[in-house]
Amino acid sequence: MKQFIKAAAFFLLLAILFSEVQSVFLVNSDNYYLYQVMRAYEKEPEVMDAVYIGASNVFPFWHASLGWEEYGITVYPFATSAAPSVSLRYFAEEARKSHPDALFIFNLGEFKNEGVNVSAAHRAADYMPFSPTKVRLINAIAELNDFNELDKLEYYFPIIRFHSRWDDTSSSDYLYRTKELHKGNYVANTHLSKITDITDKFVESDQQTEISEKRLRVLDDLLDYCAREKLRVLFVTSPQALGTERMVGLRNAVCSYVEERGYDVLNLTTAMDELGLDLTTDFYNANHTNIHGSLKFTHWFGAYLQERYGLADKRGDPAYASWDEAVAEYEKTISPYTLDFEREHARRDNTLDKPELAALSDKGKALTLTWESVENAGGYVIYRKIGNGNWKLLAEVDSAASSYEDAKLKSGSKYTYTVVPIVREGEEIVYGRFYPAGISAKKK
Amino acid sequence: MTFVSLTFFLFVAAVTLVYFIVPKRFQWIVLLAGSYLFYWINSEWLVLVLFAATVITFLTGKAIYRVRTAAPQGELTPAEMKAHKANKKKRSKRILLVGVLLDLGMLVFLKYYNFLAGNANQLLKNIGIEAPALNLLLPLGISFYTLQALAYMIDIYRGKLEPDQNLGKFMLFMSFFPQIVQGPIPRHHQLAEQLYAEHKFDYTRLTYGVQLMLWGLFKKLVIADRIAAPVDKIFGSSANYHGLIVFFGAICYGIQIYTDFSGGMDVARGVAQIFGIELELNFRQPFFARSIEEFWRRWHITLGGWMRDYVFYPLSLSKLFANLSKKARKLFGPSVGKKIPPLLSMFIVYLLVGIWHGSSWKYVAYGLWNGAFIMAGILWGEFYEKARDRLGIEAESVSWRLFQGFRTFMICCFGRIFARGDGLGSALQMMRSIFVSIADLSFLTNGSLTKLGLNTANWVLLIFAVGLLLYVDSLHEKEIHIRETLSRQHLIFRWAVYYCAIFAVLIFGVWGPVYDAQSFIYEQF
Repeated sequence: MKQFIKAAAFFLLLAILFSEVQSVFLVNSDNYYLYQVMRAYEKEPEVMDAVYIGASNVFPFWHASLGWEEYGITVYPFATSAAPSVSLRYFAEEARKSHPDALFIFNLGEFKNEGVNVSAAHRAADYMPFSPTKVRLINAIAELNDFNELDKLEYYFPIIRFHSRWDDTSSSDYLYRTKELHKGNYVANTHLSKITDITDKFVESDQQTEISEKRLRVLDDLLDYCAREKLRVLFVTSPQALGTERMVGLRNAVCSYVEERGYDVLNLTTAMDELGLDLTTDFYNANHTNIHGSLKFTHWFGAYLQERYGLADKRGDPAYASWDEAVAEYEKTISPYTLDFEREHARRDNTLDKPELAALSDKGKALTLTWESVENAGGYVIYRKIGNGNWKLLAEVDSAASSYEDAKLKSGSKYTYTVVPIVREGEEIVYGRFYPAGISAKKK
Repeated sequence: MTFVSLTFFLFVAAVTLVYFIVPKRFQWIVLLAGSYLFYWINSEWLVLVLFAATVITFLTGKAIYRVRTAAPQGELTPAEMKAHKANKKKRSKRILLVGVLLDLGMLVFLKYYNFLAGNANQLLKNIGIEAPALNLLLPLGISFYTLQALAYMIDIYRGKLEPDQNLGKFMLFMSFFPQIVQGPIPRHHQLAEQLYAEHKFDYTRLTYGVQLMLWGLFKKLVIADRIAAPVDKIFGSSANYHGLIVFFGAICYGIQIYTDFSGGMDVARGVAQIFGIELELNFRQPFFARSIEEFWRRWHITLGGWMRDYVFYPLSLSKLFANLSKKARKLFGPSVGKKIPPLLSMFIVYLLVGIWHGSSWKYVAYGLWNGAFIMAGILWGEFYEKARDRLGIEAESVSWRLFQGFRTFMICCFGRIFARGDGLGSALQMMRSIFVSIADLSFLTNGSLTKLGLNTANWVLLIFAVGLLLYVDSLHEKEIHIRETLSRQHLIFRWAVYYCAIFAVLIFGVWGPVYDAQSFIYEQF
C-alpha cells in the first residue's frame, strides 16, 4: 500500500513536471499571441459582444482594443495563424463555453486550403486547454489528413515533436505566459514596421470556382453546427491580394454557398476602396494588413458591427476597465509607427497621391527635406521622428512649398521625415496618402 | 516495433500487466504468447521460419538424448559395452549433424545466399552458369536464435544438458521477445529455467528494470542516434573529408555502435528484469579493454563465448589440429608448433565472427582485422612483454594501462571502418586517406566539425553525454552497483535523479516526428 501511494505520488509529480516542461517547448515566438487568445476565453469575466474566429486573416486586421477605443464594443479574436478551416467550428465550441450568447463572426479565408498542415494544426490545438472540444478538434484534423492514432498523439503531447527544439529555445520560452495586455491585438514587428506594395498581386474577379468536395464537407459541417446550435453568426472575408482569379473565384463561391444557406456574408476580399485601404502602403504582405491597414480596417468594421448588430457602447463602464488599460498599452506600442491622424481616424482621401520624398540633404546644423508636389493638395503636413521615438507633427506648409528646412539638429541622431498632403474643408483636415516609412538620415 | 518505439513500451506494459495477473503457472504462456505476437507484428509469416527452427531443434535435441541415453540390451561384455558406446556416439553425432545442417542451412540460405551466389557467379562467369539473385527476407533475429539452437543441440550431444520435454516451453526459450532482436545469445541452462519459473511481482525489481531501460534509452536515443548524423555524413561521402575527419568519423561510429547496441541490450535486460528474468550480460565496458583479445571478452560477450565453446575449443582440441601441430613442431620448432592450433582456430573464429555480422566481404575483413591482432598477440605476445620490461615500463602502471586502452580503442575504431564503410574498396580508401593527412590538424579549428550535421549545442550535449557514459561505465568497472547505491539515497535525491533521467531522454533523445523550425516559427506568415 505504501509502495502504491509512493508510486502514485511519483507519477503525479511526473505529470505536473511533464506539463510544465511541455509548455516550455510549445512553439512560442509570435505565438505568444496564441496563448493569450486561447486562455483569454478562460479568464475574460465580461460578456463579449462578438467572437471573431479565423486564422491570420483575423488578427492582423481587427484590433480589439481599438474597436473598444472608438466604439466601446468588445470583439475579441479567436484565431491562430493558418488555422485550418476545420478548426473554426471547434474554436466556436471553445469560445461558447464562456460566451454563449456572443455574435460569432467566422472568417472564411482559410477555405483556400484543403488539407491541414502540421504546423497549423499544432498552433490551433496546442494552446487549447484539454477538453472534449480539443479531442474533437484533433479528431477532425486527423480525419482530414488521414492520420492514424499514433499521429494524433503529438497534438495531445506536442513535446513529441517539439522536444527537439531544445537547442532553439530562448528566454521567453521559460517565462510564464500570463500577462494579457493587448486584448489579442497583433503586435509582431513585421506588422508594425513592414510595408509592402501588393498592387501586382491584387486581382478582382466575379468568377465562381467550384468548391472541392473535401472543402464542402468541412463547410457544411460548420454551417450545420451553426444551425443546430442556433448561433448568431456573420461570415466575412478579409481584404487580401489573392494573386489569381481562381483563388478569388473560390472565395466568391464559398461566400455564395454560405449565403444560399441563408447566412449573412460580408465578402471584403476586393473591397479595398470601400475600406480606404492603400495597396501600396497598408499591407505587410499580400494577405495581411500592417498597422496602417488594420487601423483603417478596425475603424470600418467596428462601425459596421455596431450599426448592423446594435452593439452597445460600454465605454465608461468600470467592469471594462481592463479594456481601457489595453488601449493605453496599445497606443504606446503603435505610436512610434503611426501618425496621430491615423490613430484618431481622421478623414482620408486616397485620391491625394503620396508625395515622393525626393531628398534629405545635410548641411550645417540643418536637414533639408524636399518632395515632389501633389496635384490638388491644399497644403502639406510634415511629420518627424527622432531615433525610435514617436512620430510628431513638425510643421504645416502651403501647397506651393516643396521643401522644408529642419534646423538646430543634434549631430549623431537619426531623423526620419514624412510628408502628408492635406485639404482643408472648413475646420476639418482631410489627409491624403503618404509614405509611412518616410525618409531618414543620420545627422552628421 | 523497435525497442525505442512507443508501441513497444505499451506492448511491454500490457504483457507485464497480464503476466502478473494470471495464475503464476501460466506466466510462461503469457511470455510465449507475447513473444510470438511480437514476432508476428515485426515479421508476420516469417514467424514460420522461427517455428520451423524451433521444432527442428526441439526434435533433434530429444532424438540425440534418446540415443545417447539408450540403455544396452541385456548384459554386455566390456568390449561390447565399448562398441555400444561408440555406436551411440556415432548415431547421436549423425542426428546432431542433421539438426545443425538444417538450422544452419536456413541461416546460410536466407542470409548468405545472395552473397555466395554473387561470388560464385563471378568465379563461374566464363562457363555460362548463373545463380539467380533472390529477394530474400531475413527473419528477425535469425543470426541470434540459430546460434542459440546450435548450442542447445551440441550441449545435449555433449551430455551437458537434458532436452526440454515441452515444445511450448522450448518455443518460449527460442523466441523470448526481449532478446530475439539482438541477443544476448542465451544458453539453455542459464535462461530456460528462469523463463519457465513462476515469478512473484516485485516492485523494486520492476523499478530496477525500468531504470535499466531508461539508461539504455539514454545511450540509444541521446548518444547513438545523435552521433549517427556525423557518422552518416562522413561515411556517406568520405572522399570529401580530410583524413582525420574520416578517422574522427570512425571514432564516432565506435561510440555509436557501442551505445546503440549496448543501449538496446539494456532495454532488453530491463524488460526481462521486470518479469524477473536475468539475461546474460553482453557488454562489460568494452572500451576499457587493454587488448583486442580482452575487448572481445567485453564486447558482445555471448557471441564471443559461443565462439569459444563451439568453435575455438572443439577446433583447437581436435585430432586434425593435434596432427597439424605435430607436423608444425617438426618444421618450425616446438615453440611455434604448439601455437599453430590456437592460431588457426582463432583465424577461423574471427572469420566466422566477421561473416556472422553480415554477408559481405567487408565483414570478413572486419573479422580478420580483429583476428589478426589477436593472432599477433599469440605469436609475439611474449616478445612484446619482454620488450616492455626491457624498456622499464611497469605493466600495471596507470600510464601503461591508459596507453593500452587508448591503443585498443583506436584499433577497434579503425577496424570498424571495414564494417561501416560502403564496401571493402571504399573502406580501404578511407583508411588510406587517414594516413595521408595525419599531420594536418586544421580541421579542429576551421569549423569543419560544425558542418557534420550537428550544431555546437548538439556537440556540447554529446560531449556531456559521452562523459556521463564513461563515468557510469567506470563505476561499473569498479563494480559499484548504481541502482542499489541509488536506492539507498534520500527520496528527494533519488526522485530528482529519476526525473532528470526521464526528461533527459525525453528532451535530448533523437526521436519523434521531425521538427523543422522553418515551418513552425520562421515562416508562419
